Amino acid sequence: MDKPQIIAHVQKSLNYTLFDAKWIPCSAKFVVLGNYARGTGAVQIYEVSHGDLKLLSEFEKSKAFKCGTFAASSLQQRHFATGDFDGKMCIWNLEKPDMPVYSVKGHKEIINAIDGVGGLGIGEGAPELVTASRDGSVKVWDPRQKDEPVATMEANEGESKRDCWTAAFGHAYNKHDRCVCAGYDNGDVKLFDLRNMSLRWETNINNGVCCLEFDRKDINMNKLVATTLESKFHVYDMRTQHPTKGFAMLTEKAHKSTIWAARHLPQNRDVFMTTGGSGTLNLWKYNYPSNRVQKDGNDVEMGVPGTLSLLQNITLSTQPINTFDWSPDKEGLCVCTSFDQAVRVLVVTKLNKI
Amino acid sequence: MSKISPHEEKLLNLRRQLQENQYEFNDFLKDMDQWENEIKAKEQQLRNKEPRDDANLPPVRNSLDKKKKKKIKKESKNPVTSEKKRISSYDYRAWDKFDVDKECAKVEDGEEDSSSSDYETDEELEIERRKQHALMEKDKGNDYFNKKDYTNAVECYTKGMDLDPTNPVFPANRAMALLKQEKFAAAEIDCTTVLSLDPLYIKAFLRRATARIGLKKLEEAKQDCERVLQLEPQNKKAKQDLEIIEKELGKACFVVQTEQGVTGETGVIKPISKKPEERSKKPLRRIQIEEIGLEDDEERKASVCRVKEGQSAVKKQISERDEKMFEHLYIDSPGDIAATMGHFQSERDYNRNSVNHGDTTEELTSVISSQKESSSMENSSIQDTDMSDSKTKSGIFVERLDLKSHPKVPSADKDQSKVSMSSPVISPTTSPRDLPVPQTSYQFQADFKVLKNNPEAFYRYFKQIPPKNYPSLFGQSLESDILTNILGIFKTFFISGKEDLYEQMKCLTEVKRFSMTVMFLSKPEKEVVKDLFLYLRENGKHSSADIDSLSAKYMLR
Repeated sequence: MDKPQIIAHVQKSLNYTLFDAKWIPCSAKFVVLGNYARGTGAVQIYEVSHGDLKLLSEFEKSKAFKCGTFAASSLQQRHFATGDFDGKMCIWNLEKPDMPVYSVKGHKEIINAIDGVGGLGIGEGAPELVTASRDGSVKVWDPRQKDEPVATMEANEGESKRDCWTAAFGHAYNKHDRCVCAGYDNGDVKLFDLRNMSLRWETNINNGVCCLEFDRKDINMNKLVATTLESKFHVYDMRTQHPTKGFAMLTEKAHKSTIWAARHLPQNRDVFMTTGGSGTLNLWKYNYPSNRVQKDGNDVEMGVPGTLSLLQNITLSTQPINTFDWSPDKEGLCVCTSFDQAVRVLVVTKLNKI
Repeated sequence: MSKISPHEEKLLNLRRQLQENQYEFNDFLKDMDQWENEIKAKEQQLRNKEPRDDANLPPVRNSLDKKKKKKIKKESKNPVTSEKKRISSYDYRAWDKFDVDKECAKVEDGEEDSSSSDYETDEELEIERRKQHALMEKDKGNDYFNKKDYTNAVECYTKGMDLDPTNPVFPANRAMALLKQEKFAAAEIDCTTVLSLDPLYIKAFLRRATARIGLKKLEEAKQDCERVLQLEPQNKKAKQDLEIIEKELGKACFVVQTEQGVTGETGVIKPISKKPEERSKKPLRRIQIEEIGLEDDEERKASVCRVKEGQSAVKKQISERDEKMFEHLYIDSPGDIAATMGHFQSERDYNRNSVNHGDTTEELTSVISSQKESSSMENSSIQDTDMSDSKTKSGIFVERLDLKSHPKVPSADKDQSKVSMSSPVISPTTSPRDLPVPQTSYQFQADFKVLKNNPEAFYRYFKQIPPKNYPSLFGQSLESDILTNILGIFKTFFISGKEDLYEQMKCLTEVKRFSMTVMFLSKPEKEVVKDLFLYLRENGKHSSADIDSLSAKYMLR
């Protein structure tokens, strides 16, 4: 009876293709990124105000924007880092958008995904951004260092380069430890340890990896959700790594189409939303097993996967919901964009009763 | 009360649930309205807060071992050295192949062999660290300087110099601080150090000029100012300094002249008294000297006769011999102006001699002056005169001294004035052969200013530059007048010389903002470009596809 409800609160159709939407921390505003039909990049800032969306400001740049994040900026500055179709990573002061505060041509091709850590009080240590690009490389940037990435992960010379679709930070629970997880179009998932500058773990999940997200960035790795092209997603228990078996994993089928994104609720790390190619949203809850660790035959510890329960599902559009973002400040408030060129502000009720 | 069927109960439940949901949603919206206001206040508060201090953030990742990584990458390209690369602790496969005995033997065989390349990198790191430290000292020094605490500032800059002796900034700043303390000699030395590190450091020239004005080394100060104006014709400070110097020099000249008036030694040309290392390094110039005073020839001969009368027999003998030699020269030498070059040569040789015969220096100098008069009058090359042994020479000079001191020696003054008048006429353009291949954008700009009105010289100069250097050389600034000039010389010299200019044309396009510059070419300039491509196509050394793509970059279609 106490199932959470997903309600479309406000919907607004726009005149460009939407690629990303992110809440501006500590506000009722969000940024929408996209691509005008003429190939230029669009950034618009909206405010949710008494059941309506108010356009506060907008700017247009020469290259289409693909992704953006606030996660590497402090709450005071709230600078917005973007990745564009040209492989350029820029950081913008949204109040003075004429010139980026930081700009680097980091990749030869489109930046598919960007993630940050170290800002907003989330994650210990230096502010860092990670970009994943079609050129096959994953680069880590520190806004304090111009022009050069602080770490680059790419295929060895001679090996074929895969299109990298997603990258996410995690494990940033102290000043030194930090991991980047990257997903590729061939189903590869690679976990890089930035402290040791080494590949910690890799696996293949058969289908292209659309989205990866740790349930929390600023804790000892706990869970990782990986969504794929062919209506499947995987949840890994990242606490216990077995030398041969790796991490315990559970697979779930959903949406009957590509699962574009998975986003954990900031107020409850065991609840997350997945968005589907058929315009659907699914709200999930992860249930831990009674014992997360067990011993294998050789007395080596290995993880035990839990179970998933579907809390709610809703169809919003006929087109894929490509991005989704929970408001970090208001539990249950979220925004999503869809390829039908509409941005939707949603309300999820009763999340506190789960 | 009638019984409720299960179906009805289900419906009721559903209704209740819907109602509940509606409530819940309404609650949420009400809550959200309130939240919107709260968050706005919070945001405002946030904006007014002081920006967070980033001091306790950890350093930029891998910023320290970046150099190391680069080294390793280079090594891995080289198959010979890659063998020696350290095997990482997690690369188990590599460790499996690791032959301990072999490695031990290697270590025993030769210590040098086992010395890892890490040492080099560590050293580099150390240098890098020192440089960083030096920069910190500089900042500290600048702070002191701004507080007018020059003693401490000098100390900081000195530390900086010790840490990073290659950076000209430290001595330059120290010189400034020393100037403020009026320690001119020390400041001058510092500036000289700076200029040995960076010969185009304009501020150092200016500071040295100031120091030299303080030290009353006016001539040298003037040279510094002139050098600045040569590098940067608009430099105000240099112009001001130069004015001051000119004023001071004017005073000094006045004093000298009055002295001369007292001694009555008119027309004496003083030898260059500067130390060899301080002398001008500029190449000798050809100065045209007009022939004047030939009409005084008779008078001169008469005076020579009169002098001879008063000489002893021995002297007469010597002078006769000398005369013969001179006669010989006089006949041999063609009367063309080129001889004046030899004349300068001889002057220098005399100078050298004057060093050799220390005690006779002064007398020799007067010989020079007299020689000069006579030679310029007679248009004779006296290159050979200094070949005669010193004995003869001493004879000559006595004789000449007499000759010179004779009051009727004419034309010396006129001659003098002529020389000094003609010298400013000669333009200060340096020969293009002397201009080295430019290494920096700045150097090129300076040279270009000198050469732009002399297409042939510019052509020779430009040809020396390897085309690959263009992007770095022009940097941000391929200005249209430079491009126009370059295209001009391409057209006039390369085409007429049937030289291949594809490489040059191609490399030009790689210069930053090239397309911008091309966009603003005028019509006649575009015609020139068209001609160039016509020539390239006729030349046939490059495929038409290459030329097409290149011409697209020049915006021709």
